[in-house]
Amino acid sequence: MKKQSALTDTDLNDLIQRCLRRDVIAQKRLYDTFAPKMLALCIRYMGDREAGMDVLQDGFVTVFLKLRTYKGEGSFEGWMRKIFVNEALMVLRKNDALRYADKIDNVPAASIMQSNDDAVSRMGAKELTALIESMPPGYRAVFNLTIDGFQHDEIARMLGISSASSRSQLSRAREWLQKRIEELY
Amino acid sequence: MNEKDLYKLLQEKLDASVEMPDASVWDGIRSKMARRHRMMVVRRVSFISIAAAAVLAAGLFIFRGDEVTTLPSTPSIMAESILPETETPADQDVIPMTEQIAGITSSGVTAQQVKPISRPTTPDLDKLAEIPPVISDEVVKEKVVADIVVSDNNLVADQVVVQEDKPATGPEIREWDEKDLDAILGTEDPVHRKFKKNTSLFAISSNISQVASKDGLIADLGPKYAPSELGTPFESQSIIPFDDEPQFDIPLSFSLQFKQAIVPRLYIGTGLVYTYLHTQYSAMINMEQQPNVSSQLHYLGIPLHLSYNFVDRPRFDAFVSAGGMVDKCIMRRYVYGSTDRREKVEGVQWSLNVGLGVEYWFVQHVGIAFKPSVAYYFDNDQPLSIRTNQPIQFNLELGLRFRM
Repeated sequence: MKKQSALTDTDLNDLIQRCLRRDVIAQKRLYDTFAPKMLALCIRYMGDREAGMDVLQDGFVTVFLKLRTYKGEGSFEGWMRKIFVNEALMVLRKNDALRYADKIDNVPAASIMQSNDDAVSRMGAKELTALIESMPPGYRAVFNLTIDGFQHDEIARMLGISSASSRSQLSRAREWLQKRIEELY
Repeated sequence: MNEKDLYKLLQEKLDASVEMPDASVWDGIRSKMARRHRMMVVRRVSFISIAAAAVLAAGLFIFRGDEVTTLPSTPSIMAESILPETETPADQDVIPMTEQIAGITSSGVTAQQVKPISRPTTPDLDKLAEIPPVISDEVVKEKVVADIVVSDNNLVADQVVVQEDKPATGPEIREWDEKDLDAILGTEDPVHRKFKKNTSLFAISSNISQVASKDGLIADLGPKYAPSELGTPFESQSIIPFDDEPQFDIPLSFSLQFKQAIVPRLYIGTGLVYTYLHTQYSAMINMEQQPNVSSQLHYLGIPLHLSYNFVDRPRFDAFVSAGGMVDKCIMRRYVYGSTDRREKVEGVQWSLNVGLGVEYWFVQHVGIAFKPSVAYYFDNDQPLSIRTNQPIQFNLELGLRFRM
């Protein structure tokens, strides 16, 4: 697959219109443009490449089928991200991978993370991705959703848990991450 | 750095992360899109067909009275038909009731000209029994009256009143024979009617096999033919299916058929049947493995079958049929990766089938049919399809029938 150059808004709109007319060449171009980023996102949520590629495949089918619902409000990439995140969560839910530990030690977030700020700043995208991929699935979903800008209320709704659970899972994720960073650096 | 900044930093770093997917992902997307599109088309066609059939059925049900009203069914018409407007000699040839009514109607007789008749709202069967027969030797007439009681109470009441008002000394009452009654009730000999007047049938139907998946009811029943590429152009021999579990879509058939009665109840039929077969499998193509090869086969077949109506009613038939069909693959299309190949297939596919069906006629000329059947497909060196993998196929045929 060739790596595509960035699309201008006009090109993107044209591509979307052609995709709506089931133009296979346009669909392939859209795929080539966004697949690498979306695959990285899928792998981050799923924890491994094979599962990530399965989600990528289903996600693109959904993108093409639901393309008509994209009204041009907000970024197209953001709209696609939501679809892929949703697909990933559906698979995780189906695989029963979103079960959480009930009890949680409430560790203040700032105290955990501040000590590793420098380490995080120094880490590359690949290292960070690898670190997140190795997180237990339950924490990983909440942590990824938080990074992707979702609020606890939204996360709770998406995962079918309470807001309190979402917060506690995030705390656990941070704790887990801190330990791993301490081990590595 | 606060928590928000930290997450922003993480997001920026992770957004820059990219992974190149394998080529098979795009093949999978195309294959899934094609399957969804096909399912959508099938759903739309099915929905439109069902809606059209429902509208047609409703319309025909509402207006089906046309067939029966060739004979009187309302009180006024009945009165017209029985009250003699002109003197008819007793020795005059009996005129069939239908013709007499037609004559009366065409001669401009209106309900106002007919002697008013008081009609009870409900028939009094006991009272009816007390009425002495006007013509004592008319056993048939008594039978007719009794039958009418069962079928149409208002009709009986009218007839009774007429008999009271005007003793039937002429030939009119004698005309009520069983043929007239059959015509009124639609119970005339259907074989006679169909065979004599309507000898042809057109059927438009679709055929959905119920065992079209590898998990089908009879997936392991019968032989499995080795997928053959024989009889195809040389170029396509490079496509060699090797998948142990190919995915078969439901085969779809659309047919236009014609059947002709050769003797009462026995029909010979033929027509044109289009069948679409889709299979997804892995194959070696030019010595390279292709995980998702989409094979689309388009067949055009000519069936020949005999059917026998073991139930033959005016509105309902049940029949058994047996016959064979020869199918010719008119086009084979392979889609894999970005390749789209169309080829011809040589040779033909022979098959035998037996079925059991029912037909319901809304009106004399239009009906619906339902026919489950079993077909056996012979090994005729045809490309891989559900027919080569499961030569014994259960089919379900639904369709509209038009009687000529």
